[in-house]
Amino acid sequence: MSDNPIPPVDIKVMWKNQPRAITRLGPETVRRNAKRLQRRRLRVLIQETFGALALIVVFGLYIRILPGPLLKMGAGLMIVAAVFYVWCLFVLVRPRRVPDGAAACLDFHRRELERQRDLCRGVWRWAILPFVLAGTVVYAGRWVAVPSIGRSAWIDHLIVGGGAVLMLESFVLVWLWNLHRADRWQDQLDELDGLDKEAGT
Amino acid sequence: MAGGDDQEQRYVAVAAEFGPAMERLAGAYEADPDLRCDLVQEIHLALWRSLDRFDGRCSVRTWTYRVAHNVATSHVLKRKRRRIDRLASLEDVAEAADGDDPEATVGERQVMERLMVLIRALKPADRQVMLLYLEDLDAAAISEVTGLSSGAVAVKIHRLKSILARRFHQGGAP
Repeated sequence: MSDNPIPPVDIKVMWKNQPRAITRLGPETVRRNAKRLQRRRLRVLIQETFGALALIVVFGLYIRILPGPLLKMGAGLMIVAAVFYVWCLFVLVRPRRVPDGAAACLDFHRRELERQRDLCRGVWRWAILPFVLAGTVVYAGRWVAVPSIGRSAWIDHLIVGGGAVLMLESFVLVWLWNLHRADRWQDQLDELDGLDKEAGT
Repeated sequence: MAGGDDQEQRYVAVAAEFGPAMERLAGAYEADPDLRCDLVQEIHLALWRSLDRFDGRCSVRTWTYRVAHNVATSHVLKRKRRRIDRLASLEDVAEAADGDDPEATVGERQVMERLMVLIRALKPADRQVMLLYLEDLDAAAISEVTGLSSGAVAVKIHRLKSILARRFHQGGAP
């Protein structure tokens, strides 16, 4: 036992008198970093938006050149799906600012984690289903259309059917991957719930 | 833009007043010096971005600590997912403290190192309370920042005072 124990106030004083090891950040640096972060997020949004725009342009042309009402309708639905996807990107997926004014620490995290989890769980609704519907109509239109020159009908159907199956497989993989991500968000939520129980709130 | 100037003025004032506290907080959450620097930058970034939405419903101090703890807790959860750390509750730490074998004397640096080790071992809710207590916030302010009930905060403060007393009074260092 020490004869000169450190009183609690000394711990606080020591805590506050720690040497500052980190170079001070000026507002200029912080603003630069904020802009860099915004640019990075914007870049991702722009990439996704350009992808959707390319889809809109291609299927816009298809509407004009493809034969048959079913193919034209499928191309139109693909454009609608792409527009809806871009809208969801900007409205639903866009990251929220930290923090929300009224949120205490753990509440803010819970809401953000729930939002991410629900987005992943609902991906079939806002990203997959519109494209699957549009793609199905396109493939159906292609199925009933006249086979390509030099191809027999059954080979043509085989190619169209194979393409449709591949499309469905890709979307199923995207859906499963998002379900897996939703489970990971849920794990984090369970962790936070555990903290709350432990804290007695 | 007027809003931007206002945001910048607020940020400069907040950074001047709470900058050292944010660094101490980052140090308590992250032991790795490089990652600590990143965390400090993340906190400042979040503060700067948040201040244009500061609505005055709570004090600037409460707002600042909330942002800082939000960012730091997020940092810890991310780290925890990559590297499985076992975080302890105040009760676990209190039990462990009973088995300590403290030395008679200790330098401030050693005390700080021990304190940091203790803080980093705590679960986020306990860690927040500990840090805010060390920053000299009262129970009501800690409750406001963390969102814990005032009763839960009072119990936690009582426990952590007793842990600090046992770890740093009875013979100082281990």
